[in-house]
Amino acid sequence: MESWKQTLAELARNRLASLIRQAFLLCGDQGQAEDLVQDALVRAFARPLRTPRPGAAEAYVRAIMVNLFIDGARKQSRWNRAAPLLAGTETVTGPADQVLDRDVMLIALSGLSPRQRACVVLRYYQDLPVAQVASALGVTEGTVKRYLSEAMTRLAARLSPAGSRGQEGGETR
Amino acid sequence: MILDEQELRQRLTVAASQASAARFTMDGLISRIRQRRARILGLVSGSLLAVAAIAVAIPAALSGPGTPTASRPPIAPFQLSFTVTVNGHARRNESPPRFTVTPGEHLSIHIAVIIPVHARLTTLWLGVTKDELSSPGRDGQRPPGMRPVLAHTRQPLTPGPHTFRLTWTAPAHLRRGTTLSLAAAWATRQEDDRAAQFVAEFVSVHRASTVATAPRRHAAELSLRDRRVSGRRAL
Repeated sequence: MESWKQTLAELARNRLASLIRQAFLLCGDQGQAEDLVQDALVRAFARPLRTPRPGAAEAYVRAIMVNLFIDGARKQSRWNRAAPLLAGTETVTGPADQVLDRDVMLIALSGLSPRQRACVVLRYYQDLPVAQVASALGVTEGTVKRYLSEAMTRLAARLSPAGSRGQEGGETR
Repeated sequence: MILDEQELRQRLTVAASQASAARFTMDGLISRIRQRRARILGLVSGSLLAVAAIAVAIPAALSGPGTPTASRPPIAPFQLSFTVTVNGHARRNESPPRFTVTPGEHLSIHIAVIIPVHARLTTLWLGVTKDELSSPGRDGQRPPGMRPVLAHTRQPLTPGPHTFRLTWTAPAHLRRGTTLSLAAAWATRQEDDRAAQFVAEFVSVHRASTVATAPRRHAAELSLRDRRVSGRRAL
């Protein structure tokens, strides 16, 4: 078996569930999370001359996943700006309105910007130090700290009892 | 409200646990990876080929026409210089010279040819053709359309003058106004370097009509008809 297949099989056998969970926190949707993980794995293992080493494959895939999520969110943001023009007067509902029955945490995360969300997931779910979060996102440590600070403020507001009631009542950002 | 980091970690872990197992298969994933690898390899190899082609083309273009790229030295095409005399008459101002013949007339043809200095002829054919000019075959075969063949050299011709004495009897059934050509075809030592050239033209006339209308020089040519010529090849 080729080396990249062995590395991929090992990664999928041991760490695929963890990758899916991280992607789920980033996307807030099971289908999107699976697509994100697949895309990241394809990108990571499709490079003939830069196949990830077995020990570093997971970190490599996670970094690709975060960047794909941020890029995808940027494209989705452009689409969201253009969609009302195409849809006429039809009301466009936000993500929070569509998943009211979901966990409050996912709703609170959806109120963050993609970069803030990625910082929160990498720092507090993956327990990565700030330096590694900055490296994964390609920004400085100060920028990561700023994102985290802003994200914590927003999450605190969303996760407070008053904020939760506001969400349930249809409040948006 | 200040959010506790530990509480946030716990909440994130709980939220992440909602994710279910992956529904895609490894076979599908490997197939996608293979397709993408093949596409990348195709792009890389195509780019390398393009770079190599440019690397070859640019120096070749910059070198100019003065530098031949072929290993074989170019051979300049050449024409042979023929001087033809028929029954003692020459047409020096015509190219190719034009002679009138009557059906059944016996002709004594003297041909002088000069081979250029750079030319190395391996074979030379002299003969009569109707209207086609054809070069010898690849294996030294007779030029198609040359019939009859009046002379054929079997040894290479060195540069310089060569003479041939030929005899030919014009066909008895030639119609008036028919033109036959005396042609030469040759091959050189370079492969596929074969050529042919018209040497002279014979126009058929009938004696009775020609005498009444032809110029004086044509009448003189017609008098050649009754001469008995016995030519022989000078090879």
